Amino acid sequence: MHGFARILTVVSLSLGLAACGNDRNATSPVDMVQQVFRSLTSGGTAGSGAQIPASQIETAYAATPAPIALVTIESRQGQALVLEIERNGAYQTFATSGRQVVVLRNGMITGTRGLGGDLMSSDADGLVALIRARQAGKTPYAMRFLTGEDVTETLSYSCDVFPDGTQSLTQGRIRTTATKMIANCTGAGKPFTDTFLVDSTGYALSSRQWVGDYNNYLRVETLRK
Amino acid sequence: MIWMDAKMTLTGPRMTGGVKGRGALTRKAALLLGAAMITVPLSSGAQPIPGYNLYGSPGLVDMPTADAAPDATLGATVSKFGDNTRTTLSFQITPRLSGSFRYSAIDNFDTVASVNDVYYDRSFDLRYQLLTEGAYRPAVTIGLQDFIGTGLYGAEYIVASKDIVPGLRVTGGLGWGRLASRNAFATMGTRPTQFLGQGGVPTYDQWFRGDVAGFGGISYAPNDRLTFKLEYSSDNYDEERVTGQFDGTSAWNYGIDYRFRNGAQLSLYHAYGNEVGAQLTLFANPKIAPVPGGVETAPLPVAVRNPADINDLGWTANTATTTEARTSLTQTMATDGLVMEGLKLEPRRATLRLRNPRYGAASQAIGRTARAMTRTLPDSIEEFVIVPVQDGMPMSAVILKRSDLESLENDAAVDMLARSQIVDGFGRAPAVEPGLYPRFTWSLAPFVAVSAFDPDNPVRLDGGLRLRGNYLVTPNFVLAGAVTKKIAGNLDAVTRTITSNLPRVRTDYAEYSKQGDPAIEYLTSTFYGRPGENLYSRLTLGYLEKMYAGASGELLWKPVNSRLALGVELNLVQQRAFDQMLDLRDYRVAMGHASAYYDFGNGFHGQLDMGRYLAGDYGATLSLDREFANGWRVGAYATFTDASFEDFGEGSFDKGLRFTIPLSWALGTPTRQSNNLNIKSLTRDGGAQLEVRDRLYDQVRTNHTPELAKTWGRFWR
Repeated sequence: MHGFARILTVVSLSLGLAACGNDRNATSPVDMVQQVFRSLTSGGTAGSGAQIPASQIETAYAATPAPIALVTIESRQGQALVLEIERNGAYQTFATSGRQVVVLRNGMITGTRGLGGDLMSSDADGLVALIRARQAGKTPYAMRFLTGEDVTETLSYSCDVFPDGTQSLTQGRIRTTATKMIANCTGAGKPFTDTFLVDSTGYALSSRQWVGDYNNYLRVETLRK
Repeated sequence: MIWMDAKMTLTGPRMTGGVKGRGALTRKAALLLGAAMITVPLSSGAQPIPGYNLYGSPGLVDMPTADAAPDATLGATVSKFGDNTRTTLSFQITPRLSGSFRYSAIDNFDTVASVNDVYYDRSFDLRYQLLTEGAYRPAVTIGLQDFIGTGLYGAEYIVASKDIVPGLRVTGGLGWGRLASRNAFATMGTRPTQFLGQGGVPTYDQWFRGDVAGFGGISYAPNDRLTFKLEYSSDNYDEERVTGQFDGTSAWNYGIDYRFRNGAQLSLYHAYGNEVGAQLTLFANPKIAPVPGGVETAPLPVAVRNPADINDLGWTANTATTTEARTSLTQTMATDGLVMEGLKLEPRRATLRLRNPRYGAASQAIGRTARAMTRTLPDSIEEFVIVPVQDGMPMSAVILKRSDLESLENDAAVDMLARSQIVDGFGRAPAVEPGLYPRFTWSLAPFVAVSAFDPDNPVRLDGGLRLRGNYLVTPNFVLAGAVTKKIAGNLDAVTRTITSNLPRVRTDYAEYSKQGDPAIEYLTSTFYGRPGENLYSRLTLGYLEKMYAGASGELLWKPVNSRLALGVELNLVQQRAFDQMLDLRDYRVAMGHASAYYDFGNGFHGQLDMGRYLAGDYGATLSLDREFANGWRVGAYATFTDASFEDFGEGSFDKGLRFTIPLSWALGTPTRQSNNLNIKSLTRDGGAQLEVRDRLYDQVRTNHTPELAKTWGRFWR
């Protein structure tokens, strides 16, 4: 029995000891086990579950002239304030202070990073065109993800797009009348419905989009264009 | 007759980047696998995981079914009924082919090989699904049970299974060998009873010979959590009745499975009329990660140039601009954990020497480097040449057009791959920036060493501390050492003596465990080089591994876009003293191999090593691995040498299973660390390989086309 007790001591000791040294790429077993369970229970830091206080939004307006939006991961009930950090043609990259990113095209989400289960890229030319024009129509739509194996998987859909009336929209610094656009998409996986509120220039000021199995629905509300 | 003194080794992190070394955290692989099996939900696809039986493969209670698990499923089963305990690891090798490795113990089983009346045995199974299930057609599977070795569990079967109504499944099959020991209705020739060699070779002379009997059963699953099972067994447990205390009175077994949300299966059984049993099976799948793609911080976006500035070459004459570009590129890359080791700026081209200590997928390191370059380099530079460097060796050169990066940032990663050129890095790496070398890194971390399958004590452990240091005098000249100090453990309590007719090149391992405290694990100087195009070289001198010191030289030929690589390795080594300090023993040998490596491209990788082994025996090792883009590997190897089966002893030849589990898969954050778990059926002296660190092939292929293309989906991460 002595032997077994000694073994238990060693095991618990080795778990209690973090690695030390100047090798920053060596992971200690303690950190590792903690990280594993953290990654399994949370899956990213976006959204602590709290609503962003208005004061924080005001501070952001004052701190930068850049476009600002509010991103909500519905399944985690988490919100984050994002600022535009880069623009590449029609694509705007918005980032949180914690380096999580959503990429918008015409206000529609075409990519995410740093959320886990990220939408890597989209083929959304047809969808963007219909939303911009606020016209009804049918269009192909594809989204690309990385699988758990790290292989790119393309999910292809066909979307029925149609306008669903207009409404007045008050959102951050924005006060306007917007057209509600609905896209019912069926295809590769579960069917989903994306919803957009589009302003007179054709920009989606508010969008609620399905962005994959891992995060499900993401909402982006533009607070300042 | 059983195999003795087998050893399961958990070797440490295989770090192909940054500081290298073995064995910092030897339990990690097991911990990770355990954590993965316990917590990762496996409800991803349409194909459900079938019920597993007491043998740890798809089945009812003790009998098999024709079911196959989803591709790449790993199942770990512990089962016990009556005197029988079976621990099984199964892997769905392809959608139709699966294999199992089992370690079993039978209590009250008195043979010469038993220890305290417990008989331990290992067995391997293979199953192949001949027909998948259709609307009217049943699934049909053919199986070989315990087909290597001494064959106590030896049996073959053909079995069919079919859903009759949703939830109700019927199975019927024909068994040979053990599965024909009750109510045989026919005979196909005679089944030899002697095993071949010293055990451990395929028992092909017995397959589908002798008596034939029928078995079958039904399962009913009223919901996706519960399954009720009833079977008729054609196994009479003849040997267990004679030698052991089995006295089953019935051929009918029944049981109930409960499936947890994460896929784990817990079963309770009533078997053979008078036995009760229980089973727990945990599942993991390399294709299903806790967080698909990971949760690392987002990359910096591409900065698009203003077309008006593209022909502005004014900066070429301005050293302040170039200095600022260098500094800001270095800093930008550093925030992503990447090291800019050198940069050559030309009016239209920038060549960058990249060290990647962080990202398991080289494509991700290259993608982030390229984006950092778009943000920091003068606008006239259109061509980026990124040269990933490992141990001072330029591994490849990835040539990217800046305008492609700008236009394809939001498209599929394959579009960028199609526009990229990947060429040999020979002679292309810019000189190293001053101040980066020499570089010293060290770490102190706990370790646990595990040995399994010794019948006297099936699992032994040692725990202690390991101090490692690496001194890179230049990028390609490395001095490395590691010292371990045991704190506690029982690896030194091995009392079983191993007889061997060969030089004792590995079988004295118990002495090394007993006397090596503290021990110098390794103390080496290594030179890496690129002697020519497509060529890579390594020369290691010193205390190479736990048991051997000397010189080890390696030359590898690997064209950057080739699936094939060829290598030669020559080692002049002398055995180290048991205390693992600086002394040597008398045994010397010149040994080495010519190796061929081939990436089949369908997820399988093969390796053939031919040459001379530590005991002076000549032969070949064949390895086959199933590899996944995320870095997981599951493989098997076998070594055949001119050492006779008699000289080799029990097991007849060396063989084993190996697993590589990337930490990034489990953590969801990038790291180049992974853990290797080797399950070797037993340690003998024949076909023994030198365990020199840092062989070239794995380091080289990481940055070459087949691997880069497989992982290219991470380029835009």
